[in-house]
Amino acid sequence: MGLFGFGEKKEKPAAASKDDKISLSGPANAASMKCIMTAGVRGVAMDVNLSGGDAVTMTHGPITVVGENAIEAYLDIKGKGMPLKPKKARHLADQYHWIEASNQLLDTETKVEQVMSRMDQLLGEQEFLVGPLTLADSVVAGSVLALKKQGKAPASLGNVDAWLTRVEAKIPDSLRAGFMSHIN
Amino acid sequence: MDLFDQRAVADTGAGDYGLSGDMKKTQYVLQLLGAPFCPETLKCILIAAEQGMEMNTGSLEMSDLDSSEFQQVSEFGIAPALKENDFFTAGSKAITEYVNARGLGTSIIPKNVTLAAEQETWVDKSRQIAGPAIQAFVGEITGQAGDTTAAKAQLEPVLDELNAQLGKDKFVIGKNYSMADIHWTADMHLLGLTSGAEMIESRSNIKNWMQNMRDKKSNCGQSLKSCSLLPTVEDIKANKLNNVTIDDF
Repeated sequence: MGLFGFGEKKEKPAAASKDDKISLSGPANAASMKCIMTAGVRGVAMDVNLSGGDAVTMTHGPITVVGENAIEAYLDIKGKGMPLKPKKARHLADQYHWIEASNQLLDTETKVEQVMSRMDQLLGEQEFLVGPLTLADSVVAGSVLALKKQGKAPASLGNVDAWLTRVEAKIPDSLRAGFMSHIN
Repeated sequence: MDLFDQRAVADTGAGDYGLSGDMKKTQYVLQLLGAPFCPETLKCILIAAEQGMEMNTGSLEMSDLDSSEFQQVSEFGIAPALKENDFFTAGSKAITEYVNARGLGTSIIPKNVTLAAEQETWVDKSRQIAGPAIQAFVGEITGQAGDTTAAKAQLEPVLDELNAQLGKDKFVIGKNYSMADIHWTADMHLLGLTSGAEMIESRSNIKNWMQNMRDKKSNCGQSLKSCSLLPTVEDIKANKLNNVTIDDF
C-alpha cells in the first residue's frame, strides 16, 4: 500500500451489467406487490414469477436481494431519473412513516380502516401521500391493492381510489398491463 | 400540552433553547418518546448522538401506546415517536432517516445500489429477527420473562451470519459505518445486558466490532461516544432513557 492508500486496489461491491435482466419471485402477497409497484413507478422492466416461496426475492446478474425493503431500495436507485426517496428531511420522515404504517399495520390487517381513512382525508388535500411522489406511494399502493384483492379494504374511499389511479399512471405504458396482471 | 412536553421536555434548563447565548448548531432540541428496553428507541438515540443532534427523551409504558394521549402525537400508535418543534413522526425507520438527514455529520446511508440494498437487508434482519428474539431475553430485566430457549434458536443463525459478515470488514456492510451498524449496536447492547451475552462472547467478530462501536467517536466528529448513552440494567429497571447532550460545538 502506498502513501495515503494510493495504489491500494479499491474493492467494489458486486454489480450487474447492462445486459442482466431483473427477475422477481416469491409469494403472491403484499410484499411482492409493493416491489412490483415500485419497479413499475421507477420504470424498471423485470420478469415476475409469483408462484410461491418464503420471501420475495430479486435477482439481477450476480446480485440476489431478499426482502421487500431491500428490493425497493435497490429498484428505486436502479430506476430511471431521480430516485423516489426524497432529500428533504420531513418528506423522508413522512415517507418512512407511511411505509411503517404499511408494513406494520396494513399488511398485518391491523387498524386498516383508521389508516385508510386518514389516507383518504390526506389525499383529498394533496396529490400523493407525502406531497410529492415518493417511495411511500408505490409501497403503500402495493399494500392497498393486496387488501383490495382479498376484499379487505374499506369501500367507498374515493380519494384513495383516485390516488391509486394516479400511481398506476406513473408506470410506463410498456410495463403497466404486464405488471398489473400480477396484482389485480 | 402534549405527551412530549410532559415527558421529554425540550427546555434545556438554560431558558428557551438557543437563547442562552451559546452557539448551537441545531435550532431545536429533538424530543423522543420510547422505552429503554426497546431496541427501536435505542437506535433513535444512537443516530442522534452520531449526527450531533440534541435529543430529550421521555419513557413510555406499554399501556401508553393505545392511549388517546399518545395517539395525539403518533396517530397510528406507532412507537417510538419524535417531535421537533411543529413536526411529528413515528417509527424507528422514519426517525433514524430524519435525524440522519437533519444531522451535522455526513449521511451514513450508502449511495451505491448494492450497498444500499445490503444495508436494508441487515436492518430487516435486526428488526424482524433479532429485535423480537432479544425481547425474550430483556424480559429477564423487565420481569416479563419470555421463552429464551426459542429466542436463542431464532438468534443463533442470524448471529452466525453477522459474525461471518464482520469477519470480512470493519463494519456490517463494509468499510463504512451505516444504518446497519446503528441497528445491530442497539440489539447487541441489549442482548449483552442479559444471559444472552454469552452468544456475543462466543462470537469473536461480533465481540470485537461491539467494542469498536463502544469506543467510536461520533460520526459528526464530536467527542461524544453514542454507546455511552445506551441504558444500563438499572436504567431499564427504572424505565429511564438518557438525553443526548452535545457539549463540544
